[in-house]
Amino acid sequence: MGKRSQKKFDFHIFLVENNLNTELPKKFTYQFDTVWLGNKGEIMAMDREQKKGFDRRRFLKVGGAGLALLALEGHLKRVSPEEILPKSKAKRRYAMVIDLRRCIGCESCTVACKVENNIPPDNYGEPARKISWNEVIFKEEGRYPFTKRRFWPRPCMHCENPPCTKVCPVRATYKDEERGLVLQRYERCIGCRYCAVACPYGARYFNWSKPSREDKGEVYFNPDVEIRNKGVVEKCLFCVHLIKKAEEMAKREKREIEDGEIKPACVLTCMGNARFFGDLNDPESQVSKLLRSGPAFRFEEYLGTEPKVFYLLPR
Amino acid sequence: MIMKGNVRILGAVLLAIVALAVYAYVNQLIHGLGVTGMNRPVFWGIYIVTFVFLIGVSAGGIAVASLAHLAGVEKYKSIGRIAEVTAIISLILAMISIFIDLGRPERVLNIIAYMHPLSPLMWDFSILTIYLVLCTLLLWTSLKDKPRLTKIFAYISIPTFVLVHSITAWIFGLIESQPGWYNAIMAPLFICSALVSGLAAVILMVLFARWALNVDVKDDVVIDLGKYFKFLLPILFYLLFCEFLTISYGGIPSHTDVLKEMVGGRFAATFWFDMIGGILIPFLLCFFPIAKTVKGVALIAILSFLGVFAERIDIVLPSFYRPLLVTARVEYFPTWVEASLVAGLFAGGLLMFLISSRIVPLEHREVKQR
Repeated sequence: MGKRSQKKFDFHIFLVENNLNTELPKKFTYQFDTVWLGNKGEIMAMDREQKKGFDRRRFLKVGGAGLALLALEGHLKRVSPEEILPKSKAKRRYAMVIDLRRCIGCESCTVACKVENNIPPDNYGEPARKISWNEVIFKEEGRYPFTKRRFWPRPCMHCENPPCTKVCPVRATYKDEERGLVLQRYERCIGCRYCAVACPYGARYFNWSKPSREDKGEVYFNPDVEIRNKGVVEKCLFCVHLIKKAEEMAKREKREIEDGEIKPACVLTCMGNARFFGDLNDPESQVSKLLRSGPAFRFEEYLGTEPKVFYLLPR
Repeated sequence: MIMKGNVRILGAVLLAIVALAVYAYVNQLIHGLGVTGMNRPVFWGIYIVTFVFLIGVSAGGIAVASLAHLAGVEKYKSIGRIAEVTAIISLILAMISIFIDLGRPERVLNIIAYMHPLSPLMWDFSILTIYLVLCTLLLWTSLKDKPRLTKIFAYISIPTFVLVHSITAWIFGLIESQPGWYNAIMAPLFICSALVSGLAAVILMVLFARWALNVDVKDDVVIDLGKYFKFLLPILFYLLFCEFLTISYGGIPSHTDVLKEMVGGRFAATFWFDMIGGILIPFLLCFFPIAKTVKGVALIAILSFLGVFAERIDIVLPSFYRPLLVTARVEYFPTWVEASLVAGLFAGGLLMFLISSRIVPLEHREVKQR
């Protein structure tokens, strides 16, 4: 990826990561992936260049900030953590930061999630029908001598503007305004799968068949999480049962929830400490600090979903 | 009306197909939607394709019926009844086809209990109910021979017709995360292809009624109906062309990927069948003397009927094959359950048509009585 500036940035510009899993056009393209401003307003830009048949990323330092800004104004969406922070009325807004520099793609988050949430270990023998609330997506890029395997974990993004809750005809999936989570009412879901169609992240899973004997969680059964029956949609809930538990505990002890007190299964298990979970509304929380500290991106930002899972950039 | 011996055999065959479909549906109820070919990310399959198609078919009936009632085109009156019955039946079939797509059909009334006003599916549920009531009222008033009421309902049915197809289009066209669908042309495209398939369906049903039920419809009425393809097919092609040009000229990868999947990928067969067999050939046939014969019109109708079905496949499915973030290999093929349920829907439609001829007089008798 080339040189990396050591400066601390005051605010960031995020742009659409729009073609992560699509082939790059054959012709020469100059397409900004992520662009951000430095302290003095100079534009630090990352470009994606495909000139000689392979994908190469490098940083460009563009001078003439004012001019460039004018030129880019129409194309870029500028978001700073400060801008993201105070927007919602929600009391808390739980968010996750995934540091891709630390992620090694071991998929233990996926396994921990399955154990915690009573997700069947068996995928009915059909990979295309697996249920896996958290998934590590692997993607090979480039052509033979210059290949690269990229990967990123993908939980539910718990968007601020979730496309899935908008389309649900029965409000089985809804946004929990108190915590900023996108939750699911299994007992109300009619199984039309419209939410799964509308989710740009593929974060929703459908129970195509009856849970088998093994799937009922008789092997590892977590009594805190309900078992989903056939014909309903399910998804990552940021381990909302743990959040509720922590809230009750704090209430009983008459204190506020501390930052870092809540750890969803994937965060707890991550061996590289690549995942962080916390409240975006609290400017002193670890996730807020991490987001202020450097460049970060979110998937499919151009759709306006405002996901609350942030990725720190890989090398 | 006398039924021929052949018709009785046909009825028995249709009944058998419906029985198979019922068996398949019971199978699906017991084992869940896993018995279909649907998976992730192809969350919707042939059921939704059929749903969209049947909604379209119901249009033709209402359009032709409205022509008869409003424009006072005298010769269409003989087929007005058939058109209305076709519309109602295909509307009922469409509602069934979305019902069988549900993972939890027993909870379908949750749509009323927990109505979500922002969901296009909820809009569709409401407008389909309204439309069904309206179609039934239209049929009822024309049966009872109340011309004023009929005219009022025919007037109301026109904006409702536009709404039904627009809302069905918006189920797809408003989903920004499906690049193949997110398109402003969706609603006009749906209306136009609805008219094409609906007109084709009415022509085919008229011919079927002539053969099976000896309904008295003159040749020139059918040939006259066939003339509308000359106008509708180019409009349909134009709208499709607008969509494809916008996608390919802009060159946004996620959008062009879906187009590539259609033109040269796994949907190439249905795409080119639609373009050549469903639009080009029937359009050219309209200018040959064959279009002046009933058989020729029937051929045009069959081709454009199948062409629109292929187009519906191309609208619904390819977008699933190129999801934004899911990277697994995507495959979908309908299983025997889906195939027999869809066959059962169409067979059930014909059966309902045969049965309805016993209840509703399909012939326009006004002229004879007076």
